[in-house]
Amino acid sequence: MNVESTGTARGRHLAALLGLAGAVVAVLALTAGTAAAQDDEAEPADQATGNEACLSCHGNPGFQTTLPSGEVLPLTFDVEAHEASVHGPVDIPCVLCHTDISGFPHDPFPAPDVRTWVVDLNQACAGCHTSEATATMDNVHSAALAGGNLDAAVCTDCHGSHEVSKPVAHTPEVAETCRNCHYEIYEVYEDSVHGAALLSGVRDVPTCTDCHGVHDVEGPSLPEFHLFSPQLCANCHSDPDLMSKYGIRADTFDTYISDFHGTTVVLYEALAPGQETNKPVCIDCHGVHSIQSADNPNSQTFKDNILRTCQRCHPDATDNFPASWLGHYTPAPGQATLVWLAQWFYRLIIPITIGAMGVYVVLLTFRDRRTRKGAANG
Amino acid sequence: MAERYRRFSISDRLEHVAQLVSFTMLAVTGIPQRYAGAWLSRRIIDLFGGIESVRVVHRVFATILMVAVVYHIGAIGYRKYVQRRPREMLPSMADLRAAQHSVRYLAGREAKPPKQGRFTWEEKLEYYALVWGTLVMVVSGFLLWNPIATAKVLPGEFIPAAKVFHSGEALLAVLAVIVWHMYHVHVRSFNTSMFTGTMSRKDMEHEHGLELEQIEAGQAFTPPTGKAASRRTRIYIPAAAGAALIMMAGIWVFVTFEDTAIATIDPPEQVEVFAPVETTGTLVAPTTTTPVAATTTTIPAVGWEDGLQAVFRNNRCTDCHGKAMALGGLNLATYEGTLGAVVAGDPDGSALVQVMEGGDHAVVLTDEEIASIRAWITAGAPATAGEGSAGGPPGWQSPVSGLLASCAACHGGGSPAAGLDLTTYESALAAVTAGDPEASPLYAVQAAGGHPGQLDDAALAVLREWIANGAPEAGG
Repeated sequence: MNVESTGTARGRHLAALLGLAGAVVAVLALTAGTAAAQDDEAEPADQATGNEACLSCHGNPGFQTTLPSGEVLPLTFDVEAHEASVHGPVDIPCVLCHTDISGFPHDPFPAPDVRTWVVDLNQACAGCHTSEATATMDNVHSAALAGGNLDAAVCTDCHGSHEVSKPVAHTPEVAETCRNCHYEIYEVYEDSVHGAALLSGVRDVPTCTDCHGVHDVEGPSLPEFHLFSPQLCANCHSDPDLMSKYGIRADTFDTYISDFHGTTVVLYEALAPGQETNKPVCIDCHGVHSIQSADNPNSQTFKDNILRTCQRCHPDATDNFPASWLGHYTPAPGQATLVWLAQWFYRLIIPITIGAMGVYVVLLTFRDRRTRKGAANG
Repeated sequence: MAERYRRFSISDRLEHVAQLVSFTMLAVTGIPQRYAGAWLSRRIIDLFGGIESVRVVHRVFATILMVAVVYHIGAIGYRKYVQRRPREMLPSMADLRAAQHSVRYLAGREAKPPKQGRFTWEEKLEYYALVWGTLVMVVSGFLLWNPIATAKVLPGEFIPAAKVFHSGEALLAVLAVIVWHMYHVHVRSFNTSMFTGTMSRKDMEHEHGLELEQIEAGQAFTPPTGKAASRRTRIYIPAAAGAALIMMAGIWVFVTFEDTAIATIDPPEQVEVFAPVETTGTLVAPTTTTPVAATTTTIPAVGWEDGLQAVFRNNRCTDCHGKAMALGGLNLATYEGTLGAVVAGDPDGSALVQVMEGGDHAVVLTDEEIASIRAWITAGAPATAGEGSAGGPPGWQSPVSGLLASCAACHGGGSPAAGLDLTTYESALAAVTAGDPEASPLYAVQAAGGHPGQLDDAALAVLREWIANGAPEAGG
C-alpha cells in the first residue's frame, strides 16, 4: 500500500520530468533556427507540458527562496503578465530563457547573488534577438559590465522579463525606463524644454534614446559623441517642416558650421573623430539635459546669461565679447550690419578686380600676338 | 655695353623668397579654412595633421611674413636715407600715362606697348596691392588672433567682420597673384630677374625701355660711395636696428597677446550618471498568480517512513527540501533531515508546523496533512508508526528507500538513468551485491563522491551497513 501510493506519486513526478525533457528538446529545436524563432507561432507538442511542469511549483503565489547570499528570490511566475507580454502569444518554453535549468531537481543556484544570475541569464536573449544583442555588444552598458560593474543595464533591466512589452519610441515611458538608473539626469531632463514638452504629450521632442541610441547607446563623454552631437541636434533642428511647427529657425546648424567653432568641430568630426577639441558644440552652450529655449531667463543662452556661458571657455571675456558670435543669425542690415557690409564689399570687389585683370590679360595676349605677327610680316 | 643689366640685389631677392614662401604657405593653410567643407580642403588639412596644426602653421608663416615686412621697411629706409635713390617706386603721372597708353595699345590705337622706366605701372599696381592686402591681413589677423582683447575696445561684431575681411582679402590676393603676377612674369615673358638679379638687354628693351635709355645716356642712378655715404650708413644701421627691434617687439606682443580660450572645456553637465531609483519590483513577486491545485495524499499511518515521507514527496516538498537542494538546510527526503525542523513532542514549537500553518509557504499542505504532522510530532516523531524512535538494523523499507527518495528524480520512471530504478526494492537490488558494499555500484558510486544528488556521510554509512547486512527489505 505504501509502496503503491509512492509509485503513483512518482509516476506523476516523472510525467513532469518527461515534460521538462520535452521542453529541452523543443528549445534545442527552436534555438537551432533563431530566425524562425521570433515568428514561428507553431508550438511543439511537449512545450506546454514543459511549462506546466515549471508552473506546478512556480505558479504558487508567494513561492520564494532565500539564497546563500541572504537575498530573497521570489520564484512565482506571473502567468497573466506573461500572457500579455510580447512573448505571450508565442508561448515559448521557460527553459528557452532559463538556460541554467536542465532538469529537476534544479542544480544548486548557479550564481553568488541574484544580480550576477540575472546578468548571466540575459545572455539567453541573444539566442533569438541576435541583431539587438549584437548592437549592444559595443555599448556603454556592456563596456561597464565587462569592467565588472554589475549595475550596468542588461536586456531585462529596460525591457522587463516575463512582462516584456514592445517599447514605443518618443514616449515618456522611454525616459522613465532610463530613469530607473539615471534618476538625477531624468530630473534635469523633465524640466528642460524637451522633457517638459514630452511629458505634456508632444511626440516630436527627443527622449533619451533619440540622442543616445537604443541598443548601441554610446558613452556620451567620448570625443566621438561630443563631435557628432551637433548632427544629432540637426536631425530635428534642420528640418524646416518640423521647426516651423514650433516657430523655431531651421538654419541653426548651418549658421553654426559657418562659424569658427562649428567649422572646427565639423573638421574634427570628419578627420579626427577620436580627438578632444576645446571648441563647443550645441550642448556646451545650450546645456545638455537641462536645455531651454534661449527666451527662457534660466537658459544658458538667454541674453543676460550668455557672457557667463562664453566665460566658461573664455575666462577673460568682457561685455562686448558675446556679440562676436552672431547668435545663429545670417548677417543682414540691422543684424550684424558691419559683417553684412564686409561680405558685400568682397562679393563685389573680388569679381570686379579679378574680372578686370582677367579681361586685361586676355586682351593683352591677343594684342601681343597681333603685334608679333605684324612685326614678322613687316 | 653690358649684355645683362642689374635689377635686384641679394637683399631684394631674399625678400622675394620670404614673400613667396610665406604667401604660398599662408594661402595653402588659409584657403582650406575658408572652404572647410570642400574635399580638397579636407585633404590638405589632413595632410598637415588636422585643423589645429593647420592653424599653427598658418600663424608661424604669418609671423615670418610680418618679420619680412619689418625688414622691408628697413630696406626702404636704407634706399631713401643712405642711398638717396630717386623716387622710382612711388606712383606718378607717368604711370597713369603709361597705363592709358597700354589701354590704347589693347584697343589697337598704339602700335607698341608703352616704354617704361625702372618699375612699370603693372609692377607698381601689384606692389601697392600687396601693401594694401598685407595691411588688411595683418589688422584683421590681429583681431582674429586676439578676439578677447579686441572686444574690450571694439564692438564684438568687429571679430566676425574681421573674419570676412581676412577671408575675402585672401581670396582676392591669391586670385590676383594667379591672374596678374603669374601672367606678367611667367606667361607673357618668363622673367627670371628676381632670382638671377639681372635682365638681358632684349628684355630690358621690351619691359624697361626708358630705363635702358637712361642707363645708356649715363643718367642711371648709381649708389653713392665715399665718406658721406659711409657716415650715413653708420648712423642708419643702429637706428634701423633699434626701430626693427621695437617692431619685432610689436610682433611678439601680437602673437602672444592673449590666451583666447582654455585648452580643455569642462563637461557641459555635472550630474551623477548612475543614480538608481529605489526599485520596487523587478525581482519581486507579481501580484496575480494562478495557483496550481495542490495534490492531496491519504495518510496511512502517523510515522515518517510509513506516512510523512510520502506526504513530503507527493507534495514535492522534497523538490526544494531534498538532497539536491536542501533549501534552508532542511532535507525532508530523510527521516534524520526532517527531524531538523521538528521538536519532538512539541508541534507548536516545530518549524515544520509553524511554517505550514503560517500559510505563506510556496507549497501549502492540506489541513489533514498538517494534522498528521502535528500528530506525528506529538507522538515523538517516530521513524515508523508505533515506534518511539529510530533504531535497529537498516532495511529497504526503512530507512534506505527514504534515503534514496530524491534519487528517483533520475533513477526512476519509465526510462531510469543508467537503467537503474531506485523506486522499488527489487529494481534497486540491481545495483547491489548483498554483503559487499564496495562491490555494489549503489554504494561505490556514492562513496566515490561527485554524483548528482550526493548522499551525506551519515546516509552513506546507513547504506553501507544495509548492504553489508545483506540488503534486507525489512529492517530491524
